[in-house]
Amino acid sequence: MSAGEFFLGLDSFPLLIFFGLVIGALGGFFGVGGGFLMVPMLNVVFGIPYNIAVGSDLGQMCGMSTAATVRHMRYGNIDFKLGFLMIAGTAVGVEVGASVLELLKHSGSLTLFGRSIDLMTFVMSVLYAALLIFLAQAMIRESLRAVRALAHADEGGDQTPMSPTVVRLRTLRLWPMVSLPRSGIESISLWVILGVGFLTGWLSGMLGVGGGFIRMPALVYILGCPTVVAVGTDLFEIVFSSGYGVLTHAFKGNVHLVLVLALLIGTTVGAQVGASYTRKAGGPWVRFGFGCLAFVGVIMVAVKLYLKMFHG
Amino acid sequence: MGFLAWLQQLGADADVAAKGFQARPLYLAVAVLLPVTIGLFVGFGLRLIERVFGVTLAKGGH
Repeated sequence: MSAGEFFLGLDSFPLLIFFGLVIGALGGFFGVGGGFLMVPMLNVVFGIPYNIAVGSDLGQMCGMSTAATVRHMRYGNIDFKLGFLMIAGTAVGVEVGASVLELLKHSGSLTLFGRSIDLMTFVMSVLYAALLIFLAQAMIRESLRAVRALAHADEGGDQTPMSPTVVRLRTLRLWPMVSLPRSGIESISLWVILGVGFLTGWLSGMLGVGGGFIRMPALVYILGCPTVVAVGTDLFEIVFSSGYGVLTHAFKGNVHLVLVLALLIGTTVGAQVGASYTRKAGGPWVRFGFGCLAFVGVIMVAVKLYLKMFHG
Repeated sequence: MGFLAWLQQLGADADVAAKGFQARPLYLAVAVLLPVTIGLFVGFGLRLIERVFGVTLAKGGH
């Protein structure tokens, strides 16, 4: 189904702004983009097909990350060399992700337990549920660890030992090697940068998420960027991945322009409101709440899938 | 509602099921330029507010 075939009345415009405001406020409060909540909830709450939800959410994300990048530029938080190098991997990843979604869109239905269900809806629901479970458990575990560390008044910064895979990637000597002075990195294989870009690009193109939850830890732990530069560069990267994503999805007719506008208005205001409240809450408990919220998302996706399968 | 109706119409012409479908150049341009323009407007607007009023606004998420 394309944006042209899917009808979304203009009378639902205020409701979509309100929806964007809620998701934007949650994203701003928890310090995340909210794409992983936005797309499944657009499907669950408004019945918007996944391909259109992904294409339109990428448009919303492009606007939000442009605004945030402009602000981070002021503080010099962006490593442009790293960002531009990563774009090559990101663009390929976005194209592969969007093509897989396009393939699913035209691949008919699947029979499961004697019931027929649209293959795209089934695969996307399962992928979102898996993604939300992964994020929720990681966030809850990390927040509880942080609460325990605070209780024991640990000092000396982050002492988390690096996994052997991370160490191997960081010290990989595969030509060509590049240096990133802005991030304080003397030498790293270009293939590692392209690989990180490809993986997050694939997530953007297929699931309509910014991929910051993978890119941020990858920039900090694998590449060794300072956190503040990682945040700015991640946002800069999202401008291009979502911009390229929205273009390639527009070619496939997956971008609903009215939906993009409504979500963008809502999330822009909501993110400011949410972020201002984060300052009043304790960091680890904010992340714990986010983890619980992601589990609620899993339940909603599962219920919607069940209803679609067994009650049409 | 004029602008919204125009956006709706622009998208409604994107019939990907039609044989030899090619998205309209205007639809493609608006799909990219609409969010980028709003993002630039909001980003520079917030920077201006911070400069004029001497405050630091929350940066929000991604």
